[in-house]
Amino acid sequence: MRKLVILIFIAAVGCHDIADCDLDPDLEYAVVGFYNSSDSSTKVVDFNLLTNTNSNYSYFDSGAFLAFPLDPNDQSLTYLFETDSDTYDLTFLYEVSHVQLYAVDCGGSFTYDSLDAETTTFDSVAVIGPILNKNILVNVEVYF
Amino acid sequence: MSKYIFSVLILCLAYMAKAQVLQGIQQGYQGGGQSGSGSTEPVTMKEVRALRKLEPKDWSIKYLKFSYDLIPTGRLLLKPDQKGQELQASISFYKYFFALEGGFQDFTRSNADYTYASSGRFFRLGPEVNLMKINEQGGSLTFGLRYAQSNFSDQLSFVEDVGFGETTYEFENTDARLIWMELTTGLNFPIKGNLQMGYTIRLKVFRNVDGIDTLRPFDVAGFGRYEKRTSIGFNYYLGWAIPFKKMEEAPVEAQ
Repeated sequence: MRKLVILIFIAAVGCHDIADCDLDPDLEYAVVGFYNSSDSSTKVVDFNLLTNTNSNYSYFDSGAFLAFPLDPNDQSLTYLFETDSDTYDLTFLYEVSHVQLYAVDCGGSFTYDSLDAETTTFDSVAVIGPILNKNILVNVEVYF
Repeated sequence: MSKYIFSVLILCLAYMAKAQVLQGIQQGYQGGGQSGSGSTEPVTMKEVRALRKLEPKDWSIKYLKFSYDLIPTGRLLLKPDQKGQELQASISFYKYFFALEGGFQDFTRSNADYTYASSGRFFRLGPEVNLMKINEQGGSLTFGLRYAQSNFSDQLSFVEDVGFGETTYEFENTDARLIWMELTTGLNFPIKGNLQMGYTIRLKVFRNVDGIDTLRPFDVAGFGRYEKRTSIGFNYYLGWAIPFKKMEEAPVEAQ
């Protein structure tokens, strides 16, 4: 009995979770899929320049599915896409539902939800996953 | 896997304790049963229950006990950034106890990228029932309920570049409150004179929080990790019982 009590005491003081930071399900970027308006097939895009209205960062990217970081200090963010012939825009509307310390070794983590999207240049956009989460593969579908 | 090992240990403890209690009850009635003959004939649990009903029920307060939890002190030695203290006061009458517990916790966690601080006060109160045969030395095996409440505040500050330049983010909850219920089980035994020692295992359930903003708490005083909707706690107490009636010394074996 005495040994069992000592064992439980050690377990109570010593037991703690060791979390893998990669297991944090929250994402801090929205995943956008691009599709042809004519037949809804996936469309590989090749943008010369990608910028947003909240930072001075600019980059180029290509692919059928692209990730777009969201600014936790704001509730809307507009991305501009430049090609050889046109310039497109896509505005994300969102909320930071909460921020938390996922685990002791991982640091702060934002949770975004209520994602919405609008555009003045693409043919149409559809929000199919309003929560930024690893379980939701695509958040927004863009047709053009 | 470690979570299941802890649960299995608690289950083994419960079975071993119950076995000891039953054996002790049976031996008690065998040694000094109603017949007074000190018969060694086996006594069934049905006969034990019948004999118990014949015992007079004394509802007067036996003792008031003040206890100090050793776990926060042990944790402070291992992790100096996690300060806390907890005290317990309980009264004993018939085969019941009523306990009032309270304390504080000040936790700080940090690394190169963030700093998190949580500070709060908590209390718990509720009844317990003693499953052991009533003994004047103060030994008990108890099951109980608690209502618990914690008032706390916390702050999180971290540096991160999410694509918009390296930025310092700061969030805080200034006046939050968490309430929950507990199912408890504990074992208490006398050491010498009025000095007693024992432990309590708690299953914390039905947590409900208000007063938090964007920041989701990580540590909550008295409850533990906020992310878990249920939590298990362990306290190890050193106590001093102040008897209202003279307590008998533990029996000494005849030579």
